[in-house]
Amino acid sequence: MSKAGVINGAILQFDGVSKSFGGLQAINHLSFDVREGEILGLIGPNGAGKTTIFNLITGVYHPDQGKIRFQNTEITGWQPHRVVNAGIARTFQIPRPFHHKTITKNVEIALIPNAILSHGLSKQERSDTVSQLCAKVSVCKIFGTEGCHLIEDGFCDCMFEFPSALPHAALRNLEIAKAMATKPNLLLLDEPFAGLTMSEVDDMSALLRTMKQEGRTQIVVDHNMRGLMRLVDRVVVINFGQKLAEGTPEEIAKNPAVQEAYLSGSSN
Amino acid sequence: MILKRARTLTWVSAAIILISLGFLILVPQLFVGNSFLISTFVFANIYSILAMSWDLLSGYTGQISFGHSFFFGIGAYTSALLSMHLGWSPLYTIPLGGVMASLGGLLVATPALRLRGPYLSLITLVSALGIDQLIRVLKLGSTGAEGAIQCEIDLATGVNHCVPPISANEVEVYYFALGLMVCIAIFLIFLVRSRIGLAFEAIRDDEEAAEAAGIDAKKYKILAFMISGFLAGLAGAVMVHKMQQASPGLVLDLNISIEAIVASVLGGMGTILGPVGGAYFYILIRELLRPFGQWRLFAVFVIALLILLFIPRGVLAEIRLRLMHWIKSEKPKEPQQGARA
Repeated sequence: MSKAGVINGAILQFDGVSKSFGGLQAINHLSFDVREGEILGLIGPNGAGKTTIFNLITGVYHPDQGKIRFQNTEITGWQPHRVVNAGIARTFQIPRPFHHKTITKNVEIALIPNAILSHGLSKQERSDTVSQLCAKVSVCKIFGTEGCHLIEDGFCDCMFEFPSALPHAALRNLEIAKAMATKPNLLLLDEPFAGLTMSEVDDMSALLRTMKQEGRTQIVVDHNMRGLMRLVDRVVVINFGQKLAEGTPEEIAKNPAVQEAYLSGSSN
Repeated sequence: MILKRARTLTWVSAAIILISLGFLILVPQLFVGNSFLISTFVFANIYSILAMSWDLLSGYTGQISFGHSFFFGIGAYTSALLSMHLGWSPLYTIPLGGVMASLGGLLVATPALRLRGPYLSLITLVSALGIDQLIRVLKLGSTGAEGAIQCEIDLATGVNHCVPPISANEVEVYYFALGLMVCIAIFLIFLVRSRIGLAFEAIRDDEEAAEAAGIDAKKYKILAFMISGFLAGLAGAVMVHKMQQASPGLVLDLNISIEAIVASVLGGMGTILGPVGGAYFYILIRELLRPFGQWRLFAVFVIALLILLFIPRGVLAEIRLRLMHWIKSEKPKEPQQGARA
């Protein structure tokens, strides 16, 4: 969140990146910037390369060409956990909770430091952080309480519940709580609205706006254009691994090239 | 209410564990002079250590090992050779056996960790087969027969030269094995409840999601391999000093790897104490029902099959899960659920 050392307000620079899988050129010399504090929407037809971009940023894939810089540090080719600890967290398109651990432990896992002998947070600090995060995303709402009451010693009252007890929307919230526990400056959200009802989309948008106010920059990929366009500050449109257009949601909605890509895509 | 039940439960489990431990402490007093039974309990403790070490790597961290005899054998041979040829006390060579097994694990695991699932398991299996053959080819044993280390009589002096025992007194050996097993169990219970254990479980459940949560999966997997290897190496080392000999068939046989898995699965993977129960069950049946010949082993495997079919989580893990449901079912509206548990 510190302004120091960030050129032109760009928190993340995606600079001439290419990635191919066998004969498929998934990302082709793509460049875009993410500005500090904004919510950037990343849209494009199926197979345009949106999730590949996330995997390139988070180090799951390594680019064939080009550079990725985060807060002016080159992070190209870093291991996923190193990228996370540098301040970039992601959520998955399909929620991936740790099924055999309780909801609170799921969040606590994201607080584990990698220095095996360091103490990190104290037990109390950890459980307080977990409870606050669970409360913030209201992951335990389903269990009949508003948010997550701190019933005793900072324990969450869903501490004995497992992710399998959660409905889809709450699993998406749990993903966000896990990502937030790593204290990211940049949050990558892969289809956060997928499978949500209209009112759940509104709740999720409100949550993402709150996080924006706290200074967390976000990149959101989604097919739900209505929910996305109301949420984001700027949009980058991707098609066949290349940038098709970039601008405010209003500009994008009027852009003939974007309409072409989407209409030709949907007419098939 | 929830926490009250959880605390009651903690007390009940603590009481059960203390009573079992009390019985084990009294075994030499209860069965004075019954060397066979005391030996059987020593083997049960050795197998408990082996099964717990398997559980840490496979049950907790999800890196299924088919070759724990690799660690067991390295620990066994290291301790046997050092104590026999250098004359060091088993009390020093047993930990050194563990260290060597741990390093052996590091050597094999580090390149293998890029592989996942069945491929990693195959690497552990092939490593165990490889070290078995290596020991046979090197003829490490002074008798030269297929790498076996056996007692030799020095013709000049007439002194019988063997792998030294931990103690000449069988009761002391018993308490050594029991004490080691209990210390390791306590260590592992603390370990798996620490954030290190949490990282292990995160890797088991979903390695990619664990990385996305900022966990250095490779580092934690190597740590799991090294701790597990160390403990299995200790078990192997205790074994050779108990048997006073070492041979590939005794400490490197693939059966040992299978037995560790069976014990853990019977008791419940990912519980630490479950594998101890499983190991005791397996060894006691194997040794005490000897009059029934091979039928007893058949019976053990039939029981293992039934447990896998009906209680796939293992006995202790299933009990733990049911108790968890009982803790949660605090609402008086559902008396049946409470009564069942």
